[in-house]
Parts: sequence; C-alpha cells; structure tokens
Amino acid sequence: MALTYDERVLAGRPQHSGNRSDSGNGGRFSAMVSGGTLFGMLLKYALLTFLTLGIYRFWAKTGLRRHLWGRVLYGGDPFQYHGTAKELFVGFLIALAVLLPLGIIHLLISRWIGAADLSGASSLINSAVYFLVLFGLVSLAFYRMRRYQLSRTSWRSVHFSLAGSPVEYAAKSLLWGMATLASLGLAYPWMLAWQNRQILNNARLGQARFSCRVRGVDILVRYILFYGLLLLLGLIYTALLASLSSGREPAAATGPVVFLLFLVIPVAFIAFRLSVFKLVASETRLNKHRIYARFQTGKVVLSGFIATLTGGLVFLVTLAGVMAIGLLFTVGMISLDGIANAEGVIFVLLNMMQWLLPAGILATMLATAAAKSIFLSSLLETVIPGLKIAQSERLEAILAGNQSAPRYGEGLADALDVGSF
Amino acid sequence: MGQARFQDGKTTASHVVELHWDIEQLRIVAMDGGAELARWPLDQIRQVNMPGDDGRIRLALGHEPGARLLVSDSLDRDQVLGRCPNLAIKPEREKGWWRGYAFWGSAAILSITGLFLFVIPALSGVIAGFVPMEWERKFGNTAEEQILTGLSKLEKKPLGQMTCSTPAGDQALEKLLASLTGGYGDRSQLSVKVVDTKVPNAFALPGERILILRGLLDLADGPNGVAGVLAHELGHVQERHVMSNVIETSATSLLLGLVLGDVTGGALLVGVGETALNSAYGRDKERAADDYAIERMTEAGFDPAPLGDLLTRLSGESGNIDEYLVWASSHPATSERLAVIRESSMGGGQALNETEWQALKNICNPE
Repeated sequence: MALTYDERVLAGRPQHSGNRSDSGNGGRFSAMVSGGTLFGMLLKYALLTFLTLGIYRFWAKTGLRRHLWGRVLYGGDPFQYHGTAKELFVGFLIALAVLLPLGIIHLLISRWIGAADLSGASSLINSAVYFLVLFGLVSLAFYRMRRYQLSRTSWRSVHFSLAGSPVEYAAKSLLWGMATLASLGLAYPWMLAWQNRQILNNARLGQARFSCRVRGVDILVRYILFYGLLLLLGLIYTALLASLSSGREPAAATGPVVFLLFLVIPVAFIAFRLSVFKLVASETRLNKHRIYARFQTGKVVLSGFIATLTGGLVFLVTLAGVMAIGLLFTVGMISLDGIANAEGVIFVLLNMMQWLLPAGILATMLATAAAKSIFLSSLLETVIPGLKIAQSERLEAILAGNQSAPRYGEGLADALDVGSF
Repeated sequence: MGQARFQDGKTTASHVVELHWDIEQLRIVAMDGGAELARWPLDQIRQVNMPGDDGRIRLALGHEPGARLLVSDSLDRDQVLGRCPNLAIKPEREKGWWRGYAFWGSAAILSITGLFLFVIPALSGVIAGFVPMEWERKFGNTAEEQILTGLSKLEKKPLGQMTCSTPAGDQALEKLLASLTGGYGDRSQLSVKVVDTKVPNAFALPGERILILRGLLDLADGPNGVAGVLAHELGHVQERHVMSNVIETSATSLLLGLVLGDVTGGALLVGVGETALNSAYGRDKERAADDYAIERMTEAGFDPAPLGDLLTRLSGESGNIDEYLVWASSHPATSERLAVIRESSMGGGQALNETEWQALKNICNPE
C-alpha cells in the first residue's frame, strides 16, 4: 500500500511501500455510523433504563459500545468490544458495597473535626476534605474505567491494555487539582497534559506501547483562549444584569442574548476538548509510529450546535404534542361530565398538571436521543477518518500481550457518573 | 477453495489464506508462501460474529480468545455452513457464574441499608453542626416566606395580614417563651410567630424560627397543650434538627441517585427542596424533642399531660383538612408517645392564667 504524500514528508523520507498481507483501505481509520440506527438504539435504551429504574443501563452501555466499536475500522478490520453487562453490573454492586466503609470514615472524620472544635474553621476543613476525597475518587474511577475499557477492546484479536497504578494516578491528580485550585485554574493545562501522558504512556496494544509527550505549555494557548472566552462571557453577562437592574435595557432583549451566551459555552467547550484531543493525539506514538490527527474541528462544533438546537426543538414539539393530546383528553372528560364553566377551567388546569411530568420525561428522552445521535455520528465520522498512523505496515508485527485484565468494570465510575458512554 | 483472512491472535497481521477442507478438519494455508497456519477440527469451529463484521462470517476454534478466521466469499461461506456441524453452539455458562451477583449484590444491599439507617442520620447531625448560623438564618427566612405565601393563598388573604399580633397576646406568648427557654441560652435570634390560618400546625424552621398556626390555638382547651407543642418545637430548634433533616434528605436523594443512575436526568434532585420541609423527622428526633418538651414543662412547673390530649384531638381532626398540613400527620399520636407524656405528668400548674390564655387564643382577633 502506498503511503500518502503527507506521511512521506512527515516521516522525512520516502517509504518502502510493500505490504504483503493488507489490501484496499489498509492503514486507514474509517467510521460508518448511521445516525438513524443510533437514534433508535439510544431511544430504546433510554426507555428500558427508565422502566427498570436504571438497572438496564449496564446492558444499554454494553450494547452501545459493542455497536460503536464495531463501526470504527482500521485497515479494514473493526475494533471489537468484549465487555459484558454482567461485568459492569457487578462492578457497580462492588462500588455500592464500598460506599458504606467510605461513609463511616467520613462520619468518623467529621466527628473528629467536630470534637476538635475548630469552630469556623471546622466547616471549611470538613468541606475541603469532602471535596478532595471526591476529586480523588473521581480520578481513581476514571483510570479504572479506562483500564476496563481498553482491556475489553481488541483489534484483529489483539487486546489493548492499560498498565500503571490507578492509586498513583488519583494521588497525583489530587495534587494537580490542588495546584489548579490554588492557581485559580492556571495550572489546569499542566494537569491535563500530565493526566493524558500518564494514561497514554501506560496504554498498550498487545505488546506495542503507546507513548505521549504532550506538554502543558502546548495546551496553554488553547486554554487561554477558552478561559478568556469564559471571562468575556461572564463580563457580558454581568454587564447585562447591571444594565437590566438600572432599567436602561429593555428586559425583552436580554432573554435571547443570555440564551445565546449559554449556547456558546458548551460549543466553546467542545472546541477546546477537540483541539486538546488533536494535540494529544499528534504527540502520541505507537511503538515509534507517529499518530496524526487532522480533522475539521469546526465541523464537529457545528454538529454540536445543530444537535443542541434539534434536541431543543424535539423537546418543545414533543412537550406541546403530548400536552395537546392531554388537553383533548381532558376536554373530552368535561363534555362527558358536563362540569360548569368556572370549575371547568380549574379542572382542566389541574388535569394538565398531571400530564406535565410524563410529557417532560418523554420529551427529555426523545430530545436526548436525537441530540446524542446527531452529535456522536458526526463526531465519529469526522474525527476517525482524520486519524493516521505513520508507517502503518509495520503494525502488522504487533505481538499479542499477556497483561492481566480487571475482572469487573467501572463500578465507581458509574456511581460517580464519570465519562459519558 | 476460496480466499479468506486469518488473524492468528498472536500478532495483528491479517493473512490472506486459502481454505482446504479435509474430511474432519479445515487447513488454513497462507496465500503467499503456502505455509500452513492452522488446522481446525470441523466440529470445534464456532461462529463468533461481532458488530462490524458486516457480510462476513467470523470463525473461532472453540470459544477461546485468539485466532479468528474471516470468511466473506460466498462459496467459502456455503462450505462453512455445510461442513461445520457445531457453528451455533454457545459457550456454556461457567460454573458459579452467579456468585459475583450474589456476593456483591448482598454486600451492596447491606451497604446501602447501613448507609440509609445509620451513617446518613448520624452524619447529617454532625454536618448540621458545621453549617454556619448565617446560612441557616437565610435559609430559614426563605422557608418562612414560602410557607406564609402558601398559607396566604389557602386563606385568600394578603401576605401582610398573615401574622397575628395583639399587645396582650404578644405578652402572653412572651411569658410562655420566657418560662420554657430556661436552658436555651442566647435567645435574641429566636423568633416565634402566630400565623392566621385554620390549619392546626406548628413548625420549627431553620435559623431559630418557629411558626404556630392559629388552628392549633383554636383546638387547644388550655395553655398547657400549646406550651407543650411550643416546647417540642423549641427542642427541634435547640438540637438543630431542621438543618440535619435537610442534609439528611439531600444525602438520601443523592444516594438514591447513585443507585438508580441518572434515570430521568436529575429529576430526583428537584424534589429535595420540597421534601426537606414536608418530611417528618425521624423517630429519634421526635423522641428527643418530646423529652426536651417534658423536661422544660416540668422545670417550669407546668403539667405536661394536656400535650397528650391536644395530640389525640389533632389526630381526630386531621380527617377534615389536607393531611400533610396537619401537625398530627408528621407527629402521630402514637400510644408510645402518649404513654411517655402521661407517665411524666406529676401534676403541676397552668402555664398561663385564664386572662393571658384568652389573650393568646385571640391573638388573631384584635377587637
């Protein structure tokens, strides 16, 4: 297979182009995600999860991952997700079992602080301890989640794995978190760089090692843009509030402006995350093979925008539709019962209140499924084909590893709601 | 003989192979070089398709992870389907597959029960002690406003006319408070208001606030029943039960959120504010407040027995008005409580004389 011009230039010399066993689209990433199929799956999963009071979510997550992993191909072969719902479910049960000792420890610490009676300072210490423990737990859960996910992912029957210690990751993340807090968020790029390095440097495909050299300074520029935008938005918002209270600005105009402001923040966040992903990926190697990430961030951002708008529209239309049906139903009941006018209005209002909750739940489900399916399919179809691995023919030689894999998955991460899917 | 791909599970190479069908086994031979890569007994070949294998058959030897054979050519597929007898056999469930569920399931149930029953109640009390009084006062202010607004709608009266005050009535109330707050400490922030509504109830709110609803005064025969209710609410205030109740309810719904997952997108949290005010205190807190009330009454030389009578009467009354609005619904006149109150009664005087009692009873009807 011939390498692209880019790869030859970046690799510094023309490459030998023989590849004895690969063909066609070898060495390229591709994704085939159908938004419609995804929408159906997400809606079905949301309904079942709701009906089972949340228990189905482990089966839903597993089903979604199996589907999505299978839709991403490299060298013509799909990635595969081998995790099972049982592993997730038992992992969740383990996390619940761990909560009691944690709760007791928290109780003892609180009692101890209370007994020490530092008065005003004690409440501060108590909430600080609480925050730090929670932050540590989230980091711990995140590393364990990544380890589980990688261990359950394979390509051409060779599994990924994540070595390293989750405790070390959590402890150092905690230190970084404290530094970030102390520096009013300025240390965040360095924390992000460290976390990415820590995970990628421990990740493997079979016996091939990933390595990452991303630096905080590289993330800093992107971060300052994002940070600055947030500050600017905050300023605009405050100015708006001030002018509103002084009565110079007509109140009607502020609504849409505020709405736009808050639409900008998630979009800016997506753009920031994507540009960091791009950077991290480009600083990552698999066994000395450089990885390239070239995709149009704007395209994903736009789809995020469209997804949000569509979700909002679907929500409103569903809500209005269900309420309209409810109104017809209620009016029908009145004409049957023949209730007098004034009482009739109150009756209608009271009845409509009962329709509001189910309508809201249904509208939320439909809107979330619509927004997620639009965004996810566009995200994968834009980002995945933009990834490349230099000298990919050498990836043929990667040997399977024999790393140990965790038995159960993600319990803490599920309980603490770390990671989205 | 056709073309297929073989991945040996040891490397990421994807070999283009030829399939040679023998009587009892399949020989997998590399296309270039002709090396034999594997021999698979036909009866052990299983189909293990995954999402993403569109239009291909994925074959494995047994159900072990490792080598995979991918067949896409239709002639080969016919061969596979015709020659391999056990393609569709599923892996047997491994022995003791249920143990993970059973062990961790019971551990999880035990843990959650323990958290609900012991840790959260104990923790909420401790944490309530950490909440700065300043916050609690602000919270109490808002809560009082909400309750008054709600009651003013019920009574169809402007908010400004909801609280009652007459010079004589205020004096009587102050006398009650003075005699009941012996061990209370600084009561400069303590606020007790009578609200003009037919609902028979009394609340302790965060930030040392107590609301007595006129309906309760209407129902009472004499001053001691009202004094008992007031002392009971003072007990809740003194022990900061309200704040710890709010924390307990939030922690409980947070825990519930963890167990259920984000089923409806945080809908659970919406109810927290409401339940925080409506929900009854736990049994222990009620007992503590009762004990406090009896102690204060006895100390002041009042007979606590009428508190029991008032409780019984409230329970009878609750049928007529919305259940949740009545003091008795959150303070049921259980036989246990009544017995404790009766037994503690060692006689004693009236909390107010007749003139003062009538003044308090009519605090909402200025002449």
